[in-house]
Amino acid sequence: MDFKVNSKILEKLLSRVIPAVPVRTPMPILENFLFELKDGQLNVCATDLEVSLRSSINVAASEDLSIVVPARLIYEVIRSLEDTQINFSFESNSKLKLTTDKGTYFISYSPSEDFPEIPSVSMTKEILINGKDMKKAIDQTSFAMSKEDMRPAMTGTLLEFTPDGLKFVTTDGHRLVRFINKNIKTGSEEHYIVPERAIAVLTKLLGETDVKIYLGKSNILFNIADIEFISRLIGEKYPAYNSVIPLENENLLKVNRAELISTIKRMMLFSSSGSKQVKFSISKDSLTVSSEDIDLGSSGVENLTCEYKGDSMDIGFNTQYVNDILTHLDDDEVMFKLHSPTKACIIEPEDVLEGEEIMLLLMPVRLNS
Amino acid sequence: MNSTIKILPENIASKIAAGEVVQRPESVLKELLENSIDAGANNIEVVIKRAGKSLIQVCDDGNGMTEDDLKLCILKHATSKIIAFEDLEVIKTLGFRGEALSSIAAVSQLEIKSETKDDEIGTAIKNDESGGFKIEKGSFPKGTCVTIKNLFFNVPARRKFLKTDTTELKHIINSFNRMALSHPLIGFKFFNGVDLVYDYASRNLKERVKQVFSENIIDALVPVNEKTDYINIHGYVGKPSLLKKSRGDQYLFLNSRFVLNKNINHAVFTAYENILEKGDYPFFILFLEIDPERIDVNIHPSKLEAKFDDEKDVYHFVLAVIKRSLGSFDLVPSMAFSEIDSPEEKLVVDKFHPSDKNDFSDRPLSKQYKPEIKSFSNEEIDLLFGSITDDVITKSPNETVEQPFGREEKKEIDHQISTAPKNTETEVSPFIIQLHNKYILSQIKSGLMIIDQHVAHERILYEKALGRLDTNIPFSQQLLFPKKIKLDPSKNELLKELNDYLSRIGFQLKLKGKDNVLIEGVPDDVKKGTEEKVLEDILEEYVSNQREEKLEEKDNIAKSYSCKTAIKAGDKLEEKEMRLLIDKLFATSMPYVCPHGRPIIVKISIDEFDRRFGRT
Repeated sequence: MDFKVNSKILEKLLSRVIPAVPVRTPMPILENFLFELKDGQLNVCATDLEVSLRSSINVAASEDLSIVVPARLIYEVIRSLEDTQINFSFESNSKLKLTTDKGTYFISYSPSEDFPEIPSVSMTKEILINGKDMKKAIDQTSFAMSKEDMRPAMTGTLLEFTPDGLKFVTTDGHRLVRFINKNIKTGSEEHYIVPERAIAVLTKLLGETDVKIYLGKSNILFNIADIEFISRLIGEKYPAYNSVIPLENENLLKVNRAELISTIKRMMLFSSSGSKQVKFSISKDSLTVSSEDIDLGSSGVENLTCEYKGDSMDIGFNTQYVNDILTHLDDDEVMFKLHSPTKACIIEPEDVLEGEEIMLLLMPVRLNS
Repeated sequence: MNSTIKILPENIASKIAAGEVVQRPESVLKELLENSIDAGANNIEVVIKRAGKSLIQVCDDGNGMTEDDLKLCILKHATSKIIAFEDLEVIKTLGFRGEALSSIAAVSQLEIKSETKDDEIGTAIKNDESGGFKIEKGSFPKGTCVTIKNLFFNVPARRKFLKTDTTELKHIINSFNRMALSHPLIGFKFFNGVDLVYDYASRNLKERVKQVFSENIIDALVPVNEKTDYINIHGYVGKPSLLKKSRGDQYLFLNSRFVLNKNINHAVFTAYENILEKGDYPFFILFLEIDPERIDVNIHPSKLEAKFDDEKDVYHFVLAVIKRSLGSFDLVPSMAFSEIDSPEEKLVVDKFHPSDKNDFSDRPLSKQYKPEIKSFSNEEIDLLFGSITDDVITKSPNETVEQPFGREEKKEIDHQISTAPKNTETEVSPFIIQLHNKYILSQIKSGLMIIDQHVAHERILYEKALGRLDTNIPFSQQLLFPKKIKLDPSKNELLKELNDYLSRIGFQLKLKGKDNVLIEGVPDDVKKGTEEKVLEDILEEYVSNQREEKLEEKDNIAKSYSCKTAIKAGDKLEEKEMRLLIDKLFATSMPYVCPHGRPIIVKISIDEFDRRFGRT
C-alpha cells in the first residue's frame, strides 16, 4: 500500500506532535509515533502518558492501517529533506519504505497494539477562547506554579470557571497569582487543575487561532487549529486560596515598574548568596530599597520616587520573588497594597485591559527587629 | 609529758621533700635537661644506665658554673633563675624553684663537673656519704656535666616502687623526646649504656619532628601557624590518618615547656569536629607562646600543668586556628583500590604488567615521547566527556519543552559554546554528572571526585544554620497557607523550649492551645509543601541526638535542621544545581566531613585508574 506526501507538509505535521514524545522513558514504545491511516486521513499521535498530541493531514491512501514508527528517526529524516515528494510504501516485512527523487530509506515499524490508548474526552462541553487571551493568561500566571511535587495540586494551574469569568490561579505557597478573563462565562461553576507540563507545551502551541477546550473527568482536550492536545488533569483539591487574599490592605504604594525592576536587579546582586531578602522602607512618598550580604559584608541602598499613602513601615521580601512578579506584569505603574510587615502584600498593575483582572499576592519575609 | 609531735631532722625532711620533685629517674632527667636548656646549651648528651637506676648523666656545653655557684647550687632554694618574688610572674626559664639539684642530691650520689667559658680551670663537686660535699679542681670540657649515680640508694621505699627497667626507660625516652621536640635548635644525643640510641642534630621543628617520629610523618601532618599580639601558636596537627587510640602522641608546649592541659586537648579534639570519634586522639605538636605574665606554671610539682589568665579565650583561639588549618587542608580520603583488592584481581593486574613492558619496548623510549601521549589522551578524555554532557543537556526534558522544534540547531550551538571555554582553560570542570541521583561525580586535576549530595548539602546548611543562630538574622518566608500540626505533649514541651532557636533559624511558629502548632513562616531552604514534615523530623532528630550524643543545644538544632532539610539521596539535580552545591560546599569551613562525621568527598586518583587499566 502506498501514498504520497510532500516533505514540508509532513514535517510540519510531525513537528507539531513531537513535543509529546518523551526523551527518556522506561517504555520504549512511547518513543514512537502512532501512524493511523483511516478514510484517507493520516493521523499522527504521540504521548508520554501525561500529555498527548494528535494531528492529521489528508492523504490519498486506499487502505486503513495502524502502525508505530520510531519518532526521532523519521522526524529527522523528513526534516532534513528538501521540498520534495515522498512516497510511502509499507512493505510486508515490517519495513516502511520512503522513496524520494534522491534515494530510498527503510525504517522498521511495529504493530500498534502495544501503543497506549490516547485518552478520549467527551466533546459535549465546548469552551471557546481566543488563543492570544489564553496565552496571555498563561504567560502571566505560570511562573508561580510550585516546582516541588509534595503538594501535587500546587504544581499545576487552576482553571476556575465562575460566574465572574474564567480564573487562572497559580501558587507555590509563598506567592499567588490570579488572572481573570471576564469574557468567558460558561454558566457553570467548575474547576480543573492542569499540570505544569501541559502548560509548558500549551504555550508553544498557542497562537492567533481560537482554542476549543473540552473538559472530561480526568483529562482536558485543547483543540488548536488542527492539533488535538490532551492532558491529564491533577485530581487533587486546590488550596482554598480565596481565604488568604486580604481585603484590608489600605496602605497603597504606587511605583514605576521599570525603575523598580532595575533597582531589584541590582539588589539581587547583594542578596544572592546569603539572605536572599530585600527590604522596602516605605514612608510618605519615599521608598528606600536595600539589601545586604552578611557573609561578604556588601550591601546596597537605593531611593525611588513613589506615591505612598499609609503608615510608614519596613517590609522584607524574597528578592527573586519580587523580580518574578514585576517582570510578569506589563503596566508602567504597579501598586503595592500593604497591611503590615508580616501580612500578605497585594501587587496589581495600575491599569488593566477591559475584561481582565490580575492580582498577585506575595508573602513577606520576616525582618529581624 | 613527752610530746608526740617532733620537728623532723633536716636530712629526713629533705628526703621527703625530694619525693615531690624526684619521683622516678625520668624526673631527674627532666630536671637536668631543663637546667641544661636554661644554661643556654647548644648540645646536650644524655647517658643512661639501667634505666637511670644506676646512672643518669647529662652533659651540656652551656654557660657552666664557677666554684661559688657550684657550692650554692646544691643547696635548697638556690637558683640563678629568679631573684625577687615578682620574677615568678614573668618566668621565662624552665626551672625557677631552686629545688631540683638539692632534692636530687638528697636521694642520690651526685657529681657535678663544670667549667665556664672564661675560666681556665673547672670545678667538680661531689656529695659524700656523710652528707657533706667535696670540691675538686680540674680541667673539664666547657659547660656542665651532672652525673647521678644510684638514685634512691638511701630511700629504699622509693627504690622498691620503681617499675621494671623497660617501663622506666620508656618514661625516660618519652621525657627526652619531649625535650628534644620542644627545643629543635639544640642538638640532643642519647646513650643507653654505651649505645648511641638517638642523635638529633640541631635543626628546625620540621626536621626535628622527622627525626623523632619518622621520615615521612610530615605527609600526615597539617601545619598550624598563627600569630597575634596576645598569643602565638605554631606546630603540627595530624591528619585523621594519624589517629591514635590513646593520648600518647599529644604534645603541647607552653612557652617551650611541656604541659598537659585538658582544655586545650579538648579544643583540638573539637576542631576536628566529627572526623574523630569519641576515643580517638588526634596527634598534635603545638607550641603556644603567651606572655608569661598571663600564665601560672607554678601549680604542679613537676610543672606539668599550667593556668591561663583567660582559659576561655585560649580555648577558642586554639579551636579556631586548628579548625582553619584543618579546613584549608586536603582531608579528602583518597580511594585506594589496592586495599580492597581481592587476590584474584591483583593477579590480573600483575599479568598485565609484563605485556605492558613489551609494548613499551616496541616504542621509542625517548623521554619527550611519553608526556606527549599523556596530554593528548587527557584532551581526548575531556572532549569525550564534554560531548557526553552536551548530549545529556540537549536531551533533558525541560530543554525539549523549550525548544521542541529546533533541536538540531540547538545542539550545534551547544557544542560551540562548550568547546570555547575548554580552550581558555577555565576552572569549571568539563563534566559533572549525577550517579543514581545520589552521588555527584566530577573531574578534578588529580582524577575523579565523588561527592555524596546529601551530606554535602547538610554541611552547607549546618554552617548556615550556625551562622543564623549566632547572628540572629533569620530568613523567614511567611506562608500563604499556614500549616497546622498536632504534636504529642512531650514534643510540644520541647518545641516551647526550642522555639527561640527555631525562630532564629527562620521558623515562625505559633503555639495554639494545648498541642497545636501553627507554622507561619519557614527558612528558605525548607522545600515548599514539606513544612510540617520537616518540623516534626527536626524535633525527632533533636530528641535522638540529645539521647545518644548529648550535644549542645545550639549544635543539636543546627544538626537536626541541616539533616532534615538537606536534599536527600534520590533527589534529581540539574547540572547548575550540582555546580552550585559544589561551590557552596567548598566555601564552607570543613568541606570534607558532614556534621555527623561521615565523609563528603572521596577521590580516586588518575594514577589509580591508570594502574587499574594496566597503564603503569
